[in-house]
Amino acid sequence: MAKRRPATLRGVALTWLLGAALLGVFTLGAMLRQRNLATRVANERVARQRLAALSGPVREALAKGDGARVQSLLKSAAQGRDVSEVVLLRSKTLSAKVPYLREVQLVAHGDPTVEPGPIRGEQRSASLSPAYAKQLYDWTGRVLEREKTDLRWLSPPGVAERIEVGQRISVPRGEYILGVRVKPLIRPVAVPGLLLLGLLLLGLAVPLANRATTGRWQWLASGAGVSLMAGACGVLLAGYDHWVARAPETTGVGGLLSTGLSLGVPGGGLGYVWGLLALLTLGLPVLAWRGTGQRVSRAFREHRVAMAYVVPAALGMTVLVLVPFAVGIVLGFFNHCEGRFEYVGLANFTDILSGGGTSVTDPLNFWFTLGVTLLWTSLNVLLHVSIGLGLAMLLKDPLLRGKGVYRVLLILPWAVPNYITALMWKGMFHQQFGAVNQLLGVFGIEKVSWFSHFWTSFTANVVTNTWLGFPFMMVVTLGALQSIPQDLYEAAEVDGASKWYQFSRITFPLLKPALLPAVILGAIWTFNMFNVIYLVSAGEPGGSTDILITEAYRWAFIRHERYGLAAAYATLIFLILLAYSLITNRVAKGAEGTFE
Amino acid sequence: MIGRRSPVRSVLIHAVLITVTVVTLFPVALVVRKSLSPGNEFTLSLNPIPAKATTGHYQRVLSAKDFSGRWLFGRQLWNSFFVALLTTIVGVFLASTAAYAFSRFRFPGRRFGMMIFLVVQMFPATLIMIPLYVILDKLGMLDSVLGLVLVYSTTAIPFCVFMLKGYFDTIPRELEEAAWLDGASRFGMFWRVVLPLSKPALAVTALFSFMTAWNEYILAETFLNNEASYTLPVMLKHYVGDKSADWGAFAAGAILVSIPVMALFYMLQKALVSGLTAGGVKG
Repeated sequence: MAKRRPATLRGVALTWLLGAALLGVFTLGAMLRQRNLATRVANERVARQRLAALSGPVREALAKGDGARVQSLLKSAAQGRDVSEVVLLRSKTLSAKVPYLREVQLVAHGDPTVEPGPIRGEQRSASLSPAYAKQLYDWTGRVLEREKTDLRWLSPPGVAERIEVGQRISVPRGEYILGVRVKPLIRPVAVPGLLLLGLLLLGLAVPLANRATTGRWQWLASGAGVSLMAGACGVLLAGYDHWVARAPETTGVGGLLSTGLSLGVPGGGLGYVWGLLALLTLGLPVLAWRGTGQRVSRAFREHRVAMAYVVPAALGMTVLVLVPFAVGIVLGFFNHCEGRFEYVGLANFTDILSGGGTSVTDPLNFWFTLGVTLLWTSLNVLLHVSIGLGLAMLLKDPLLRGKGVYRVLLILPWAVPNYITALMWKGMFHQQFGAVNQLLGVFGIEKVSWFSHFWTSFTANVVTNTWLGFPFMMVVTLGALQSIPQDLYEAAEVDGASKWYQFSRITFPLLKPALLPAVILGAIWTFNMFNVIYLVSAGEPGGSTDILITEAYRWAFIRHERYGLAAAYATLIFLILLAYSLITNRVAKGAEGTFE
Repeated sequence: MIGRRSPVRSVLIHAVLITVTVVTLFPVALVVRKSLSPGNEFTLSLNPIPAKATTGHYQRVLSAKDFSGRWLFGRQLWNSFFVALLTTIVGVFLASTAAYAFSRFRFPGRRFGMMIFLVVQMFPATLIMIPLYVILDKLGMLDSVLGLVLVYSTTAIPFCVFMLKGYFDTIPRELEEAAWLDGASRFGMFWRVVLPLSKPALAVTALFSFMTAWNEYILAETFLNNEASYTLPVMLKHYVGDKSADWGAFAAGAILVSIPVMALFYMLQKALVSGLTAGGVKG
């Protein structure tokens, strides 16, 4: 028992330290970002007041068709102390089939320097500065597409009366919406901060209770302590919205600080994830040091030096990777709609795998996308390897002059950030002005509309990716070629072997050990090459050139925030990649090499 | 003999290499040309030297302001720099200790831990982007540079662990044993012997994580909403939208943003190649 005492104290210290670190991180997060729930609630209130004051007169003026009056109303509202922007927008759905395809028109604006005018898509009237119109368009687009918003509606009448936090904006066709953007307010919430302190005290109480007890009572004490902490977390999370809503509005440093102390802990939907996280970070050291599983605690005791080195990274990985990963898998079983998550079991997975009622030739069908992805990956890897290998064979000649210069110039595509490569090639494939079409024109070939047919669009992607991918293979091959002893070739020459015979019997077999990991790595990179697909073809035409990873992205961020479906997609991609790694089996082998 | 070679063959090899090099450099030359020539279209020219050079695009990119008069390029540069720097610090700091443990200690869970790091390194951050987005949204940390650092760290940590472990493995243990005999503690050995010896590897690893974060586009595009909190890649993308495209500004911006990282890349690429293929070459 006496020997265990220091361990208990360390447990206490660690629990405290972890709790404090957690507190620190999120205090910092909330302080740096004032956009937490509290701010949103406060903004909500101000926005509602401003809207209530504005909507009557604006509606009246609109009915009369008095544009100048609308504009002046908005201008005066925008000069208010806590309002940063007032806009009047009209939205119209472009397609009944695709409800998220919308066009936004700026009808009037509160900023005196901005003339009212239509923003249709990204077409802008001349009076708007391009950068500003773009920002406005982005902003309104996001407001309409996503729910995090300070924009509220004016009409139709009756709807504007009740606004929930996180309510999704969907604008009926042809209706006006009035947007008020409120400068962020800070409000203090003291109670959750205190609760957290209590939580930390509980963290202290658990090991203390442990110390006072022996045998199986220790287990009971641990269990009780942990469930107490879990309960406190739950109360903290459940009550948060309530405290936030009741706290008075203030601004300034004091407000900032207390908002920070309130932790910005979310209420509602994902609160349980948070609870789990808090439980893990607070509970794990306690569990590790006390009773639970002799093996674990012994391992920690015997290897405590090693563990001390690993724990920071392990903790970081847990918080940053494993928790989101687990959340992602869980999300796959939920459906997200209008800010709410609903448990749907395996529906997302069956939906994806059965194609969701689409035929295999439909671009939205999972199997179609999978086919495109596999074709994309294998074609690219083939091109990378053959071009890289070919160039390396040319460059390996020791007597070749200027090979250093060639090498430096040829790896340039690898050095260019790949999103820049993708955008650059996107520009080069432009139908009217693009360099590729003009070059084809020199040979009398008519201008190709690259992104309106599957194969041309796919080709554009492949060309881009080949350009950026071959240098890696070339460099790897060059390195491997240098390690092949020259006397092998000399011996082959003496025996009268042909060049091809030398390549197939000496070069290739000796290249394989270096080339294989590079090919495996390259295949994974290509499989996941988000930027090229997303920026060059953008899935055009009709999403047919999307690969799995861009398709998942689209479900989450472009098509109606179907987070659940997208998460299920991501899980499937993960399984495919995992299967790939297991099949190639090099992961395990390569890893074994590094394990030694 | 290998040296025996006809001049025809030599000319042929050079011809092939020169063709490939020209094709490779052509798009980049076009961008450079665009950045210096007036007009917004991205047009073809076989002559990479602009007829009428202008620095107008550069001036426009550098002096871009938003409607409340904030200097956008400065802010975005700072955002990019801050995110990349913080990611690097987090990555290298957390990874150096873990890499040391993986390299020097035998403990239960070591293989499993290595496996996790390896698997995570292979899978793209885009995969856990969806849950991360939902979580950060709930935490109110969307549109925040700090949130982006957390996201980038998911790829930076495993990468740094592998780069550093590979290097630590090459440091002879005798040095630590000597320090041990001189009375150094475990931590002393790490801090006073291993880390100073690994300065080059630490620098390379740090610069690579910096570059990766600096060059990242899609996560930043997704997580940031506000022009003033954009990083440079997001800003560049926004110059060339779907309907309107200012290729002049894009080209100038692309050159400004990528010149430093390209220089870094050229300095470090040998180390990267050996780092990336280390597992395979050894196994």
